[in-house]
Amino acid sequence: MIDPIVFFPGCMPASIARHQYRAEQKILKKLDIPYHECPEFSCCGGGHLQDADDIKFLALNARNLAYAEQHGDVLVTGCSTCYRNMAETAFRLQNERLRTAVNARLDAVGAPEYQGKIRIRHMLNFLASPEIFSLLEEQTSSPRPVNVLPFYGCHIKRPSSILPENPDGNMEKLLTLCGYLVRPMRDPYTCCGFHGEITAPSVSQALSAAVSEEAVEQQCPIIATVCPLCSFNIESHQMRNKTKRKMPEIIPFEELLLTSLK
Amino acid sequence: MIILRIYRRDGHYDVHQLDIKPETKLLTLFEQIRTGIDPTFAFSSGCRHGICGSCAVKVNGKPVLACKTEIGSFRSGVLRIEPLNSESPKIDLLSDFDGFYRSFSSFPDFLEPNGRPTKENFLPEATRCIQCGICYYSCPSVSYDKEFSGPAAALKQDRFLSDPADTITESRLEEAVGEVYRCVKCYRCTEYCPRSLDPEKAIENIRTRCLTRKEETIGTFHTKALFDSIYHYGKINETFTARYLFGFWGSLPLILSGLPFLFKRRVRLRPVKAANLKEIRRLLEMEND
Amino acid sequence: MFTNLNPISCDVLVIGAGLAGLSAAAEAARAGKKTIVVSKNHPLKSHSAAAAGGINAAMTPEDAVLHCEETITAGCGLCDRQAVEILCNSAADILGKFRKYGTPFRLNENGEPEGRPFGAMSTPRTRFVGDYTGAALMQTAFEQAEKAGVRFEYDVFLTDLIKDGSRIAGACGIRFRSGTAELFSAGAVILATGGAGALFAVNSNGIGSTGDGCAMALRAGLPLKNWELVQFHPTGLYPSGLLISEAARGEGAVLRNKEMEAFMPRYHEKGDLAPRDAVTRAILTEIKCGRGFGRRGDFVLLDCRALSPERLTERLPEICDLTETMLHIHPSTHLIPVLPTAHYFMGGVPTDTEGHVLDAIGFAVPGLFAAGECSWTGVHGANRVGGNSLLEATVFGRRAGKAAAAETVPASPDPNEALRTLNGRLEPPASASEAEETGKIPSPLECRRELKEILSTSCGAVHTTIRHKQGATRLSLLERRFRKYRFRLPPERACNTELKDWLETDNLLLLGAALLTAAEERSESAGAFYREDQIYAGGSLYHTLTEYRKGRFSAERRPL
Repeated sequence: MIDPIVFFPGCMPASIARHQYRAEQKILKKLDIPYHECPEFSCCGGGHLQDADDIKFLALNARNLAYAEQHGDVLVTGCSTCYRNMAETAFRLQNERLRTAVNARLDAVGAPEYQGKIRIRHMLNFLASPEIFSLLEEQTSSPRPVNVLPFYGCHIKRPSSILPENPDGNMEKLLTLCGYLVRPMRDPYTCCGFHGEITAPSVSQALSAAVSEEAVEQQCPIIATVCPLCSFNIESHQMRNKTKRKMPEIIPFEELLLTSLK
Repeated sequence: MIILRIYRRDGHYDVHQLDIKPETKLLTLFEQIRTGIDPTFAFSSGCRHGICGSCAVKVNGKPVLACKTEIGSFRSGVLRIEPLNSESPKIDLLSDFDGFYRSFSSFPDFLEPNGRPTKENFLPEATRCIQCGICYYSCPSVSYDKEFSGPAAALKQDRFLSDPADTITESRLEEAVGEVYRCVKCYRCTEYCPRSLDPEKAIENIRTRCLTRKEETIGTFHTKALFDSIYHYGKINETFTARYLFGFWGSLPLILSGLPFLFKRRVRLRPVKAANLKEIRRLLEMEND
Repeated sequence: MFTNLNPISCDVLVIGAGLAGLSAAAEAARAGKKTIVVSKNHPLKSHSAAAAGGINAAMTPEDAVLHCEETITAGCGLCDRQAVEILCNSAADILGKFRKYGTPFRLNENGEPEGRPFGAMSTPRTRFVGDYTGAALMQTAFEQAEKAGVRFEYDVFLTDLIKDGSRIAGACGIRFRSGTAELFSAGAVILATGGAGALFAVNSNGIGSTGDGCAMALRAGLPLKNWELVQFHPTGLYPSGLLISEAARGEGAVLRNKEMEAFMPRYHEKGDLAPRDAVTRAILTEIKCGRGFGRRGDFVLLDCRALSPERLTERLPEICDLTETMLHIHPSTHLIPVLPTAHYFMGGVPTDTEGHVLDAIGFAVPGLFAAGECSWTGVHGANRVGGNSLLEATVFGRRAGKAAAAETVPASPDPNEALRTLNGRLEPPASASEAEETGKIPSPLECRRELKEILSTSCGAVHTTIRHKQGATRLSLLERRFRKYRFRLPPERACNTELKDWLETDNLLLLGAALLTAAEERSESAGAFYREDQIYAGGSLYHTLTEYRKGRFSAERRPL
């Protein structure tokens, strides 16, 4: 029996990337992992709240973490940006003074206190961790010999000084288990450009296109992603770029995993 | 046994197979090659201990300072060593840094003092920057957008903006507002900085300052849109944000472009709101001291 | 061989972009002169950025008097009092200017720059920015020079000064990136090329500290003054000699020998903060007496454990970074292995207090100025006080810049002569030694390594005539082999590292030979210069002047 976890879906899976949300829920259910999703969860700031106000960014994330702390010791999220923002918050709030200041704010609005005890994990790292992986090993079936390009994106890895886990090779490990033929990507931690989509559209476009291009070049019909923002950006740029060529499909790794679970 | 593949001037790679202590620094090795094997092997170096920033190279795609990097610190036993700036003409491990040095002149690169130096300790992070170019040449925005002045310049800019003795905040911000929103937040600059500085934070700080300007740009507006979306829903709501940014009619094409996602059963039409929204709103309303 | 020169003209040409060069250039540009700074690296890569501990500045006139006296005392009688007075009295003003333009000095509770105790000084007057003061000053100086309209030409390696009649009217050299020959003609030339630490195997200097300006001056027939006075910094990181700043001892670190004894109080009343020459000799004595650490007993330990980890990261972050990168130890828990390391040349091109370069008779050379480590201004005597070098670079850099700007004269050096000079450097000398057997021909860097080894053994911190003689013999043999080197690449090749290394090594060979000549001339110990075979101990004081004429070195004494 796996200890219960707190599941933080993130805004996008809950609103316009429901396929990922559903896949995540189903996997957790299939593996018999009890999870709790707090209705109080807010947005992590989406990578831009810190641009508006740093301390409010910390407070908002600390609030989420505080609610999570009431329901478990581990928080798992399937969105890299949420993961990075929460990890940054947890890292910076190790500082006693800052934590006191943030907790004073939480206290003033009636939210629970953030204690700094909860462990923050990305869904990918969580599923690839040995105990869960052994559960998956028992349940996977029907190998699918399809080429897949594993795309990690930025926020699951950088900045590594504040992130709790190194995701290297985790997607390869999970997808190989499902029988996919995982191709080595030149730079799997390259940026999809999502956070510049509005403010730096040309860069965002170029970065997304480069990922799709590499998949074409490597003859991968599927790009596996670990972050809904990456999937969204690459996919929407593909749609806007009308081309006759057949472009690869962008699929969250959770969906790929789910299809081969018994 | 370590295999080095070093980029040379005509585009081929020299292969060196070496039995060498893993704690040897890359720079030491380069020096050995130039001393004993090939006197024409070009690389640059200076202080030998990471404070001049002359010896940045890429090892297996990762930018590092050769003088601080141990050969054994890589997982792979094969090291592919290339010049830092892969887009310029390259000669051995030398590449052109002019673009990087020019990036600092995209704004007034000096303090315009009020003559009253601060009486309190003010030690900006940028003072420790060694201008090695690692952040600039690993920045994806820089490589696709030649107008962007890059992370190191932002770090420097932030240093002047936060200096209480500086007097030209307005004109600095006017320049900055056109620069900082070109960043795509990939955190490469912060990740690779050999001095553990945080240019990404500097960009965020400048963005915060830009919000104080009267004039609205797409960047500041975008930040406000997300802020308000969180205020209203506790979450980011794509339709809300799009309308906020582009107005009802303006946002229509963007919203319609989401239709395929709707058909793929990926969209929830009823907006999600966080429970205890009042807490979130009060957190966002709170005055900062 | 180069066939043509690319001419560039300006009013003031500054060679070298360290702190002295930038200070001089900014001053000249502010005076309305078209100023170009030529450097072989980007200005911010200059070695001034490695200066760590701080810059000395007395904030009150009384303290300035004390600063002056202590500098002269530490200089063992070889200082020029007038120059030292200018140095110490300008300090507060210079510091104020840097503060005004944004150098973030550490401040005390009154909002004034905090002082840190440093060697040989009785009051804490070394002002600092962490332990990267040089880098912080460099940034401000660079920003201000750019703002003043200085043009920077980096990656240009200048090889020789060019005359117009008796006047120095520019310099020629090679643009590294393109491999083209350049001629800079100027109304006034300022040398600010730094020291020649690369002469020694264990040194704290950057790879580029090859004394190019001093070599240029020698080749132009000008003398070097007190060239043999080389300061060995007591605490270089073992084994490379990379600098562990004196700030460590200023903040409270102590040196320990094999018995873990804090030995410095035995040698000097000021203990660990004795003048550098005293500390260096004490360490060497400990090592000689078998109280050193290591298999070969050739280092001692620097104990920073008395400093709290917070204080270390706040005030000495670079030292923590250095020891962690190089030895994987942290000074708060481990002792740092240190040994004396070649650090600073007190001597150099002789100048007056306005930066005019003086010839052997003592007349100003028209059109030539010098500042910084490459110059001899007389402020350091026979032993430099820590924290005075940054001060010297800024004070005398500015003075030289001002004087140069005031004395520019339109100049038109002969490009053909410049071309001949430049090509002459690359040609092997048509000597009869062609046929003689000289052994393996070394690559430029192999040659440099051998040179370092020769000078470290024959002309290090301890001198004897026998060693000087042996060194001179070995050096001349090495030079003969060096001259036979055949370039693999043509000189016009872009980014010709081989050529640059060769030219630098050529300069180093010249300066090494000058060093041996000068050291032999000084027969009595003085400050950092220590003779084991001292015959007279009369305490007579003199300067030495070393010249290079028609392929021969000569040194002679000059009264104070």
